[in-house]
Amino acid sequence: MRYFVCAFDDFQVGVPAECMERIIAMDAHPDEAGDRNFCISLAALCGQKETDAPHGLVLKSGRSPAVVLLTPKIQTDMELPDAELRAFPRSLAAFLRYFRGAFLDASGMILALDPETIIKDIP
Amino acid sequence: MEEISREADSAEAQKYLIFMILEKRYALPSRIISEVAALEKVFPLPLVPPFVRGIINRYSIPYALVDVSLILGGDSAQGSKVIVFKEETDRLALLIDDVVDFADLPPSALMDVDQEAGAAANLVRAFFEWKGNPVFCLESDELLRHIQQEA
Repeated sequence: MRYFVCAFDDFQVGVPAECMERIIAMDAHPDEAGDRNFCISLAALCGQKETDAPHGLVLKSGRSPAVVLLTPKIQTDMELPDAELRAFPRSLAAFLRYFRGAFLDASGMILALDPETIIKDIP
Repeated sequence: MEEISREADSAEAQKYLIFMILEKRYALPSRIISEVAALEKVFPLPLVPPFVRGIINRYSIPYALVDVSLILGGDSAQGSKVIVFKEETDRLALLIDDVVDFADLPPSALMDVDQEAGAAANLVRAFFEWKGNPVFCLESDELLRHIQQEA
């Protein structure tokens, strides 16, 4: 599956492309934030301090207004095989409920976001 | 009668792995341990309590690295090794300084620890003497419960 990957200080997050409608450059379309859409900060979702959010990922939600995930700069997009997605230890599942699991190799770890659970939790 | 009791103790004897964390000796039943390994790269995680130091990669499987010393109210451990639990317990690894010994112990060797108040108190309910030093038995079930309760 293809993922759009952005980085925080200590970890990386991959957003599955299949869960997205499109990417918005927020600098070019600042009016996409705020009243017109339901915006969720990925930094806040991950308990991180707010950073610049140059990208808005419009999630497939079937909702109106649209759900936009505000993210740090998308650094890359990459194909990550589903077979290599690893579930978290059971004890950590409740902390990491907005993630499907992690892709892990010797060089690093990418946390795979679970946009469907995020959307389900929107009141 | 004493002989019968000794035989029962021997039949129920359990092997413990004794290890050090910040100058204190702890033990876990070896039946729940898969391996002891050198600490390698730790991948930090968001949203977890400070005693979960992150994820370590064991054969491409993520294990949560837990700093028990922090749960017990001490300083953060500076360990260089990890005790990796068997997967059926949960994919957890404990940060330790070093392995000390193995001990085969009958249940009668375990003594109750005076319980202190606090959520982490149940993590250590018993201790035993080993070569002149007290060794505190960690309760793995309580450890799992404690982690999950923090969520």
